[in-house]
Amino acid sequence: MSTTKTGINIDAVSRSYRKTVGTVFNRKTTTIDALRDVTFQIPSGALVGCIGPNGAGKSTLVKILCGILKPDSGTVNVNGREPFSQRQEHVRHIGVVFGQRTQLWWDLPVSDTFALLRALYQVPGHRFDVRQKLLIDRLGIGETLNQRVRELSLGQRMRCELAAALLHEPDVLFLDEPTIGLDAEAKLAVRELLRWLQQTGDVTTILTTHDLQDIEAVADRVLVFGNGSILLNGSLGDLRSAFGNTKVIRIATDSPASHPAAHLAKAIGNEQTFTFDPAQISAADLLAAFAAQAVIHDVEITDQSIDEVVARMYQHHRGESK
Amino acid sequence: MRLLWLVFQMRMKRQLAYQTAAYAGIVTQIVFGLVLVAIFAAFYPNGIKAPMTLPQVTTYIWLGQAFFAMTPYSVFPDAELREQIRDGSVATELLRPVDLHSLWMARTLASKLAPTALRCLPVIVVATLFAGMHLPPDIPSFLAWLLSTIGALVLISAFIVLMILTQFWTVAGDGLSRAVPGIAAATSGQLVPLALLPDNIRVVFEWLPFAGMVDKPYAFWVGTRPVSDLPFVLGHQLLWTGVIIVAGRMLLGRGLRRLTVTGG
Repeated sequence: MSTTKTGINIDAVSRSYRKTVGTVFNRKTTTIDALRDVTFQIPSGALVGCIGPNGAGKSTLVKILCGILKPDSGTVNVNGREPFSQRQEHVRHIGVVFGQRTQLWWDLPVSDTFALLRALYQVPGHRFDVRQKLLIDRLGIGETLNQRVRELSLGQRMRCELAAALLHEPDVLFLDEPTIGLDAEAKLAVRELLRWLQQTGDVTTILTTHDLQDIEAVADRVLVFGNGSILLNGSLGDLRSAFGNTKVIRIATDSPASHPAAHLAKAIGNEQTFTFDPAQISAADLLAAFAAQAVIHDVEITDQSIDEVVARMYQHHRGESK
Repeated sequence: MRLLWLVFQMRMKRQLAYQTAAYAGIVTQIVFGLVLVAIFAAFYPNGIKAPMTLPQVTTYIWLGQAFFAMTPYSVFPDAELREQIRDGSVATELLRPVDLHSLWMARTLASKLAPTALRCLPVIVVATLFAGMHLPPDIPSFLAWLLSTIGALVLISAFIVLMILTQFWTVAGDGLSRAVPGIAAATSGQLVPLALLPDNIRVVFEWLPFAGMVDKPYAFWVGTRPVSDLPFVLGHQLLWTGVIIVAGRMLLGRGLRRLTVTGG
């Protein structure tokens, strides 16, 4: 078998698209660089979150890793396989879930899709049965199995999609916005499964999402994309500190207060919310300054939400590239 | 092979899921058959020596109705697949560890066979009992019909996959989906049995692939073609199937290259 668990190794991968615009007579071809000289490694068994604004190169990267798009240059290696040139062999060992597209047969019970997948991937019978039972128990989809896919709720369907992507025991799993549109319970179920996969340890998972709570909940590492490059490759802590460890303070007072180092973000009645940089002023000093101006009834100090950190990162990056 | 069987089972189930459509199909076919038989009976030259007798023509028409779901009346029976190629999501099919052309052949075969299997028997029974349809003259003719019908099914499926593949280039595909069934209906014998056409036209049509989809197998059942012709008929079907599959594979290869190299 050509499968050795070496993880994902991407070296200097670039990929551009040509886009033709205009009429037949006045054609212009522009080149869009979807990925520019991207290099990174993901160890086997890791769960990596990919974030970035739309059009930043996440999907291009996933398509390249799946073997359905050919990189213009650079080398790609996924557990010892070269995805594009060995596509048929490669896809046998990967699982893919697209949040906005179903791989289940719409008009038929879920179990029929599973049977079809078993034949497609040529999974030996007993092994398939064991695996199927395990996933059904894990995801709690025993009762949905005989229902038609079109009758399922989105949450039930997504659990079935996950099971479908894992039946053939892939060594790499690609999840493209798996929690999009899901209710809280279904989201938690998806995350729980991902954590379980991480514990069992041999599936490398790439999760692209706009839902940063997903990443906070399950990812070991984050890859932040912007404009075809990787802006950051590290832990969530790295992400926070790379873009200023901003904190948020919310105070409820009898009259408005202010401080030059604190930026007023929101004021509702007597409740004010400020952001501040702890390197500039400590939380205690700031609180003392406020207390000197007004009577404080209530205080709350939190980290800036990961959404805000990322939004700032995108803004910062856009400013740079202009 | 196992995959084909599974895909077929699922298409069958899917057909059965829409029972009203199945009944409606049977009724439609019977009504159409009655109208066509009446038209032919009204215009059939009395006493003139035609290449086919009226009972033979009637039987031919009923076969056309019984196996209507199989004929290339629609070149895109699998709307899902067509849509996938159109919007580019066909790329996800590449995530399956199978040969795409074979998978699509299986899907198409199943999507042609499933509705046919459901509809053909009721139509044959009703038409034989009440509407002048005849059974094959003898067992060898029946077997020749059966074998050449299998050949026709494979040929039709290969042809439809080829048509689906043109979707890589033509965005809408409405042109083909309207033009091709017309050509197929005229040259396959679906409209008028080829035996009734003038000789010079008939000879050309006999060579085209479409004759192998409808007229040739029907002629065995009706009895206008000797069983000894079976090797030629199967050869004709096989040859065209081969040519069309090779063309389809080439088209698929180019389409996929476009998809994977230029990004669609």
